[in-house]
Amino acid sequence: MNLGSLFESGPRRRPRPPVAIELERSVPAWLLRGISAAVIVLGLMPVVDDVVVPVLAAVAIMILPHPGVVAGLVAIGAAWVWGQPPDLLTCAVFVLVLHLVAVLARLTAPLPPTGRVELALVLRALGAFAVLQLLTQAMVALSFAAMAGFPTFSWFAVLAVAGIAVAVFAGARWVVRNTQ
Amino acid sequence: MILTSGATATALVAVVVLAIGVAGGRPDVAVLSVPFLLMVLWAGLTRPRRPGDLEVRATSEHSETGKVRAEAVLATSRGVEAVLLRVSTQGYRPKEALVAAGKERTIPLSLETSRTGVHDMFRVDWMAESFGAMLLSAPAKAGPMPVAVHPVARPLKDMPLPFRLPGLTGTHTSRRVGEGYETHDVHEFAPGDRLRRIDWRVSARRAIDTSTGRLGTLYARRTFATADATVMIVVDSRDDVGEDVSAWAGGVDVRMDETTSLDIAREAAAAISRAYLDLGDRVGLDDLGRRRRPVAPAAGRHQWERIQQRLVRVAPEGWPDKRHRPPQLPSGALVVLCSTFLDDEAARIARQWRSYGHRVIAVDTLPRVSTAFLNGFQETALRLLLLARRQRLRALRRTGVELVDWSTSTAVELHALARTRQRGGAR
Repeated sequence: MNLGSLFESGPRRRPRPPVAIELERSVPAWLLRGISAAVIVLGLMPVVDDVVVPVLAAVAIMILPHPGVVAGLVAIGAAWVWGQPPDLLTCAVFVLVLHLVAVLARLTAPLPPTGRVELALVLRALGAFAVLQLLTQAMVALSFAAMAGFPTFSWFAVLAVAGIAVAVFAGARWVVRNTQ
Repeated sequence: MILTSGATATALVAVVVLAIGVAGGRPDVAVLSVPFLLMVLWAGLTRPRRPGDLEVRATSEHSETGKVRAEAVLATSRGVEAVLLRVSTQGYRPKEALVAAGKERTIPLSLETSRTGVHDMFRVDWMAESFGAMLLSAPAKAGPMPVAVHPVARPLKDMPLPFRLPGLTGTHTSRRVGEGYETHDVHEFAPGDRLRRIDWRVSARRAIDTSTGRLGTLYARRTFATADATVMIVVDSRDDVGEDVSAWAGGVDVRMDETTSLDIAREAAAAISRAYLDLGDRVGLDDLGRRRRPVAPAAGRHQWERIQQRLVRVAPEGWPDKRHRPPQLPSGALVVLCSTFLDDEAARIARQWRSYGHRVIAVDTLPRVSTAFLNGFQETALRLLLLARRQRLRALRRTGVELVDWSTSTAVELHALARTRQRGGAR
């Protein structure tokens, strides 16, 4: 290999013209990646009271928005929450941020930064995210109530509520699917 | 549809986090895994059986140089939520998009091109996704499909005519006496002259006998006959060179946003044939690079369609045998030869046609060349090649072949040729 050619300042070929997929309304994948990174930095920085780890996580998700990276973030987040005394706000913010990052990463993972995601799909994903978040945040509240030792709340109640939530969610999805 | 590795990793981590949270009595840790477990559970429950179908179709539009359009028709099965598309065409940057699935939806595709001819375009690789990319189908392919990109026939006004107009009717004034509009002369009325051609004024002035007051000989006005022209357009498809000279020898793709010599030849042939057909002349088409039957000269709208269909399929095909005789042409036809004249073959044939008495117009289709990516040796070789070409064109001009450079002011040059009075014998 002629390494000298790498440093030559010869004329460069223009980039090839692109093919267009004409979607009515769409958002670029880089914007969704940026939103993921911003959510991590803005959401986690005040909670964990650190700059380095959220910024590193944001950079990682910006460069490689793969579900595997999200899995790593979940593991790191769980480890951090384990090391701290239980706190409702911290737990709720972690659940929200990790879930949102997972949703956005799944939309952008198969695409290069120049790719586009149809807006209808983003809105549909955010709708599903909102439903799941409502259920999960309710479970967060229940779990903290259980830890506080309320007699009416126990682990069994948490699991029962989770089961009902799944059933309601499945029913809602079935209705949506069959009314398309 | 299969569970993706990323989703599997997320599910595993979620299960581990849930287990640790439950075992350690930390519901605040366990609850972190809930959204992920719900997503995996839902992906499993709504698993579609098959992804669906995708087909690439041409739009009903007639494709011309500029924007070329097609559409991807997507019909997905129940349970599929999104479809990942990657649209590619040789010479273009591919584009990816994630679109919402639907029972049957049409996604418009387009690209800008300066090229003409038949090209394979719009290959679509796609994968169906379910539940936010947790379930993926195997990649499938649709297309590419052959798209015929027609040249734009720009309007031309004044067109040169052949030396002789052998036709019996048409819009051009020939040198024969017959039915027409331009006066040839006034002569004595003879058998065959029509009564309405009698010029009563001239007859009264010249033939009236003043002593008797009687009319003697009658005089009739004769006109030049009108006729149509026969034009044979010959395209030299043996080479197809672009602006970038470094791509002439192969190995580098010819850019799709730059015209090649064959694109210019197609455009020239389309514009010239359209102009003559609009005048009511008979136009034919032949290809120097292929041994096949030419499009015989004819007039009318159907002939324009025939010429368009043949033109768009003109393409280099291997290395054709040398022609010992030029293609046979109708007597008295005007020949328009579109070539780069990078070798002697086209010039030799043009000279032969001229020696047979045809009026020959050579249209130079070499695009403006770019030497940006050539080294010193290649630049020298190009300079020699262009020098030989210049000499070849000068020699052609000396033999009476008229030259038109299509890349410059073509209409002006054709107008000048139309005004040129050149006799067939002046070779």
